Amino acid sequence: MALLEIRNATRRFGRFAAIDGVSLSIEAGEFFTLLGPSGCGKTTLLRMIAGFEKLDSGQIFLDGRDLSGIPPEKRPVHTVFQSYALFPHMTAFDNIAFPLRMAKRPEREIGERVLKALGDVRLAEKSDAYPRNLSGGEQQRVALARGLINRPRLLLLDECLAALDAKLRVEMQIELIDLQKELGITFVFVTHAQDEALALSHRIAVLNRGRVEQVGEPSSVYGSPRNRFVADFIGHISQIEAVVRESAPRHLRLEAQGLEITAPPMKSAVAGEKGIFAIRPEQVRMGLDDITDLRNHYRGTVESVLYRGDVSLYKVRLEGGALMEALLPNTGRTFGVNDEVCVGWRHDAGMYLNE
Amino acid sequence: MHRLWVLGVFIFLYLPLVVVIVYSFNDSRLNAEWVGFTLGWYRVLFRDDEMLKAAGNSLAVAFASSLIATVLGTLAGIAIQRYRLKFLNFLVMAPVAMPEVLAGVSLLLFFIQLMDMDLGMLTVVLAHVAFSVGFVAVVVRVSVASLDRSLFDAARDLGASPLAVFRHVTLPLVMPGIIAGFLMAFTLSIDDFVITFFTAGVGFQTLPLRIYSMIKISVTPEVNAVSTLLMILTLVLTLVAMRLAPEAIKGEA
Amino acid sequence: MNERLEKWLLAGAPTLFMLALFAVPSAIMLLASFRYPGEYGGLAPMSEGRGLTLETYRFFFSDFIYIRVFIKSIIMASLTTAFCLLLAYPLALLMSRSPQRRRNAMLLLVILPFASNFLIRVYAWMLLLGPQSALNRIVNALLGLFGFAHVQLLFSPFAVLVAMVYAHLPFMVLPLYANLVRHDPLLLDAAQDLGANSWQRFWRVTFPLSLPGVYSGSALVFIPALGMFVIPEILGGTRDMLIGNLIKEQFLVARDWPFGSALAVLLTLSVMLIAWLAGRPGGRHA
Repeated sequence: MALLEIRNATRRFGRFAAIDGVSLSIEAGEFFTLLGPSGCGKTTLLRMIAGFEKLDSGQIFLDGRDLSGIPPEKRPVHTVFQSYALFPHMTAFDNIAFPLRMAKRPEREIGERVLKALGDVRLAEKSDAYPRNLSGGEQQRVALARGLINRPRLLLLDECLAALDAKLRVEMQIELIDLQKELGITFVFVTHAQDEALALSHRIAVLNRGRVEQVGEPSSVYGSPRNRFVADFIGHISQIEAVVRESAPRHLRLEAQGLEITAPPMKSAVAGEKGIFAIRPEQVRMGLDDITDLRNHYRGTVESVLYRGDVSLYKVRLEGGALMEALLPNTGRTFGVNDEVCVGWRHDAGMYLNE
Repeated sequence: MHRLWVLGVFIFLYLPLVVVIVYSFNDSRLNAEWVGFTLGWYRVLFRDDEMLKAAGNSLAVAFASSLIATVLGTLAGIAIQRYRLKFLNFLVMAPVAMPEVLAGVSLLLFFIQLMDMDLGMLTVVLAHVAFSVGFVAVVVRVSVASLDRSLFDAARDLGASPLAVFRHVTLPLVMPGIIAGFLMAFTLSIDDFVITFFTAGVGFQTLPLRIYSMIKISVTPEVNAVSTLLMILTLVLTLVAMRLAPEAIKGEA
Repeated sequence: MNERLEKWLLAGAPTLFMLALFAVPSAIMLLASFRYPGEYGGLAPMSEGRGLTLETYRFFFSDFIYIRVFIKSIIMASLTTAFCLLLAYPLALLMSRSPQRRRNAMLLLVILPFASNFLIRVYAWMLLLGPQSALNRIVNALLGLFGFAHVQLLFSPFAVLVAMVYAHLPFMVLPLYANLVRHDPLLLDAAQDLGANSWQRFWRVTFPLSLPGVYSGSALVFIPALGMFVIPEILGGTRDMLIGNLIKEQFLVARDWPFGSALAVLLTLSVMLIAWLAGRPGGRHA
């Protein structure tokens, strides 16, 4: 059995289902991320695991033990809160010592372990500092050390990087990965930032309206989204309505706004049905002349250019009216608005979605 | 123009108090012209046994009632904030909002008619607790509300039982509010005239009751002296309370 | 320990205490207003076949004297509220627009006199308005200059009003200030940018936005002013009696408890009406 097993968990607030029949299993040692837009239920699910929210139905097992009826303080699960929730009347030392004191460990052991933990998060000198005198990043590290000090089976992290500025955030992301690898403690991380989820996680569960849309490794969630929501939520993607003309084992032939498109195969697609053809901007190539080496190539006009320094994002109106985005490095040739261009992508790029 | 008006308002606020203080040092039986400086009225005051006894009573009532009110008000303030208890909030706040004369007469009826109690120190203490609980509850409630709710969750999450959360997190964090509430309750009790007037009966006298009867019968500068001392006491208490819980006292919550 | 137990551990004691010392006394007062007075004061025993009656209320409405006291009290409380507003508004406005440090200092200056004993603050006006006081002599000298008769400032409705305003002023300043200090100064810049002069900026922007503060301040002044009995007792003449004095007389002098209770019930109803008016949508503290 997995370390954490969530079976059919449901939580309603009035008529609104915050969590609606969620089942997940998380393995020991995993860095698992719950990703979704605000209001998707990810924080509720986290609070259910921590023991702050009851389940209306379903069960949560940790190490095979049913957690229902066990109060938060008795669960071997700790949380790093979004606001960090550092006790303002305690020093960094006392904050980190808190879980050990609650567990009634002898003071000598507490002293040793806390000092070591402070060293591990590079805060040895800040032992006697109060939270208000620590920077955002330092507070974050105290909160992490506090959550990890008595070796929980599971560490829950609730949007805990959201309050940091962009640069510090990247540093903390790397630190989190290292820490998790070093300690081998299972992390369940909640975020609405898809780039963070992709960078940190072993596996991601995409949540929407209290349901799990897709679970998988970052590359599969990004590369083969199961439906339109996941495709749209994670990363940038161009979408065109399409009709299936032919569904073959090795490819799909689609007709989309007057374009003939060859796309990767999809088992459930049936000739004649309607769906969406979606493709990531970085998979699209663009040139002034025909790109005839690609199966899919069309003529179009550049409508707008968004300059981003290292790359530029182009919006191109194709013949037939479809709008396509292309992301190209600025090291090669660049284009201007109203330029007549040729746009193309490989036959195994993009995907057809019928959900 | 605007500033002049405001200056006028401040003069209006302070002139009466200044006059009382100045006359307390005036070497004359009449509160009229300045005759000369004296500490005589303070000497008279400290030889006035009845006044000293009333002061002792006031302090005893204030200590007892503010201690009880602090315990009850702290519990109420935390409970109201945490569980959104509308009914309890109404119960503790209504006596604060009502004219004091109503609390005075209804408590008089209650003590005599229903409880068949003799009016005296006990009834005064109970009455003072009844109107101070609300003040303590507000101050405590504001200090609880200013705390991040996830602090309590974090403590539970890290292994603290609800009782341990109360002892190690809630109580120390709202302690400034509790102390401020205690000082407020103490000040209110020392100052109270109206409710004491109805619930004290004939044999028991507090400082404000004593001052009242002196004003009604014959105004001597001894009243100025005791007023000045009382002003200094409440001034100190108020300043300390404001330092401890500034938002709560200013009503900015 | 479950949540319900925790809740009752916290709320139980204060709830019981306040039920006993607020709810029960209020109920007794309501009940007493429907009883007969006892032969030697207090309430008549229920056992003598004299149960509940509306007699006291009939008595109140049958004699215009009592209604007149009510009306007089309402007028006095209204005047108190109006003068408090007049004095407090410019002060609160200036405070709210001062720099942070000065703001806190002014706030302290407003609160401090309020912290001294209520009786002393009333008593101070006895000194200020007394027959030998400088103020009394100046006023009478001026009156004499224009040929008017000599007046006595103390023991008059004027003395009562001045002390009422004095005693209740902070109740008006604090809510007004709390409201005004939260106004976004950019709103006034925007109004000025759009062509409003200072007078228009005040009446079209600041004042309407401050109405919640005006309402709650007014309620905080009006309600205690309506039930006041100490100030008329000390500074007023025999004719300046208000509801508060009437209630006190019934309980401590006339010993007609049912009538005193009925007056108290009527006062409570008036207070609840005022509180409701001030608490209505639009009247709430923003």
